[in-house]
Amino acid sequence: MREKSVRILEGNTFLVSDDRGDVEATPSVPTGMFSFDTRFLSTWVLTVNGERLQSLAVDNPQYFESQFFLVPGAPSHYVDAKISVIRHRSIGRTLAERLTVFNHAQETADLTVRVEAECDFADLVNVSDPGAARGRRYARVDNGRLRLGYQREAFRREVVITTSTPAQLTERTLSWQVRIGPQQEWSTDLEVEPDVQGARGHDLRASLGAGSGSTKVELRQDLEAWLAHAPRLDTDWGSLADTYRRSLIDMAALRYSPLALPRETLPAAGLPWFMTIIGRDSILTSLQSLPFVPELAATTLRLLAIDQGSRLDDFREEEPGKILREFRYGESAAFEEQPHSPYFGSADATPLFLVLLDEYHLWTGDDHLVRQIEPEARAALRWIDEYADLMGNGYVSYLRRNKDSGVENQCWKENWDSISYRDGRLPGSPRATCELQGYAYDARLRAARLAREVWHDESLAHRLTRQAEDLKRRFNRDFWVEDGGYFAIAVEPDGSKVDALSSNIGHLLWSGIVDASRVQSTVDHLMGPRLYSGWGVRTLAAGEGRYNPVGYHVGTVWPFDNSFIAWGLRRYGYKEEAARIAQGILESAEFFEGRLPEAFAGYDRELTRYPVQYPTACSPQAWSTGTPLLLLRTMLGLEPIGAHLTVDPALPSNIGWIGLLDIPGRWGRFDAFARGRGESLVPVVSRFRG
Amino acid sequence: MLRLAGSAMGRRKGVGVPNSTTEFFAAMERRGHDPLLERMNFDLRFDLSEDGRDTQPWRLTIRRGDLGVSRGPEDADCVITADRATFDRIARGETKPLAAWLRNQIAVEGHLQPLIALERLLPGPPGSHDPRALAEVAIATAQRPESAR
Repeated sequence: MREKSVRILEGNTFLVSDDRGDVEATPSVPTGMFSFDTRFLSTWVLTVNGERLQSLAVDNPQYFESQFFLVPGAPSHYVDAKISVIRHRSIGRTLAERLTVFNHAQETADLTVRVEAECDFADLVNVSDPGAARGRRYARVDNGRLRLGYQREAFRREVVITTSTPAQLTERTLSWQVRIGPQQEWSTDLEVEPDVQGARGHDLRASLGAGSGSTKVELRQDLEAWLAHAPRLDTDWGSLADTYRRSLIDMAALRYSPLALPRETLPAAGLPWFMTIIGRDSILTSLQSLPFVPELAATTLRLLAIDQGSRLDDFREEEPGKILREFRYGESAAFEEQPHSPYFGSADATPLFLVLLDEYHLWTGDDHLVRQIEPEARAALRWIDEYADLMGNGYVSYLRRNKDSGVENQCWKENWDSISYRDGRLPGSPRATCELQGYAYDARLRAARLAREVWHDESLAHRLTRQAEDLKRRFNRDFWVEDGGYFAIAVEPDGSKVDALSSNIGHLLWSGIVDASRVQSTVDHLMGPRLYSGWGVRTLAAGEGRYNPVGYHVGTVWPFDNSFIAWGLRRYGYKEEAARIAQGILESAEFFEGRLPEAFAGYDRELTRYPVQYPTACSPQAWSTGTPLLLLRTMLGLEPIGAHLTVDPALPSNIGWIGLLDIPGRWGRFDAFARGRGESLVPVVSRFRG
Repeated sequence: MLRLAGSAMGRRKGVGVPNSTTEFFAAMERRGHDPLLERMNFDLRFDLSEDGRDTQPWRLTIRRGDLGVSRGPEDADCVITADRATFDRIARGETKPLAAWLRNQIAVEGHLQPLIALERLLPGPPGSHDPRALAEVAIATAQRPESAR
């Protein structure tokens, strides 16, 4: 496999190629052009006179645009090219590629330029293990175009390739015999158009009036408007400013329009493989970005309400009132071979949906939306009371019903080995992980506020408050690991405490479920050497049976996890600890040009002095992109209170000052200022504007 | 004892699992009102064909949760075109409208939201379980002594 992959995208249409711009997909190298969760190009290889090209440089000016500078020959050759090629491409509704061939010689050049094109129409979710195709593939030269297709019953996906200069076409190649004079150039435009066929040959998406993508110019203007609309950051820490800008641009790339709300956008989970709604990821990212781009939260809430579960379905793990885990549009979802239409296997998305609804309302004062989705919010509360209480003990727990393709751990640490005892034993099922109880507690209290202030239902508010208080009391008893001084990661049906020390206890602070008497000990663990690596809090504490600094959920440091832990520390008044978390994570971002990875290794910072990135397929990841945003909020201590935004800053020692201007909310726009402890005490006043 | 999908659905007024398209629309008419649809105002039209011949379209109107059933070709927010056998399967919960649309077995014109709202009125797949019932079984199995398994 060639090391560098290059990707561009718009919505859920994207292209992953090597650094020559070529695509040669195999199960282990899942490159290609994808749209609507289907691969639309699996081979896309350029040759000149039968020879492959090598890359001199790649330029990615925007997330939807890239340029490859190429010369013929293998990379080992000394570059003394008489010929060079620029391959410029952008993605929107279609893939547009311009090939330009330069003849640098004193003589005329006669060349054969060829593009090989093939497509397997693989389902994105099966791309690394495709199995045998169930349908029939075809390729046709028709009217000067190359048409590749796949049909299974009435399900049909096609890709049509057209060229601006007539090409000689076969069923898998487009070629040109080109004569280029000395110091001259030749170019041609290729267009690759994916087609998701619906009734009467129309694109499935077109029948819904869904915008099927934009032009390059529209995309540029849209990105500029997005950046201009977001709050402005001024700070003496240059890399924080870079990280902030990177986050805003990446968040723009991660915006995704669901089919049910084709004119709005919400944050998809990760680029490129998770350009879809994942309930948990979209909710947490919306929470992180509320002070900056609150409209993402509104779409997330509306879409998740529309798609809320209403029936019992073992295959999709659906229950009435449950919020979805993931939506996919590919062949396996269409034929109900995979459960993603949508799949509901997560126990945290439902309470988090309510948490987001309240937090969104606190920031925006949007009574209309809170009233609009009141039936869904009530159904979500019923789900927490009824279907989530698998053990009849009042705790939210999960048990996988779809044994073939369902998720084993239906909390954010989904990996099979993420929930364990100190000695490494795995607990039985159902499992009630601790953070789920925190979310359920917080969801009830927040819904109580909405019931009181927006739905005008005092008795519901009263009942929810009582339930929450009771849950908190029992939780602090049933989950507390006495000899450790922290909360168990989970409890088993027989009440056994799954006693590993984990980052999950930080989420408990965020939810507010931790009793005052248990707070200091919890904080000490989070900031202690077993959990805190110097960069951030590890998912699992060093010394636990399954601890592994490069294990996915058993020792790595996750930036998003830390952003919520920092929020939790602030909630309980631990400002300096929250600032330390923010500093470590934001310093690590410097090593990645401001783009935080999904996770990095849990090695001690002293040991490596470098945050070792955990290898993952998706970058940027939505909740890593949202992390600097939430950390800005926690450092500034921004809290919406009534119609006002309050500021209570606590900056890390390396920051002199921060100004965040034009923070949107129910107050209009607000400017927040903060100075670090090292700075002279010039009075700064945060202010409201218009 | 396992709680099955049918009995869970039965808690809602007037809803058993319908056997066919006709029964489905009759059940919708009996249902009258659904609190989960209270914020919705949609018209759906169902153009169903039988043995290749078009039949008189069914219409389902949702007005702040009140359900109305009629026949006629008037415009709607969402028009679903399907053959009768496919819609029978949808009405029984055997296949999901969204999936059927993705595989082009039914056609949808207009907005997708009413189609998703329709799913709230449909039963789950036959034989699905209440997760609490499965949890009961899992817990009981785990607690049984090793030799008894």
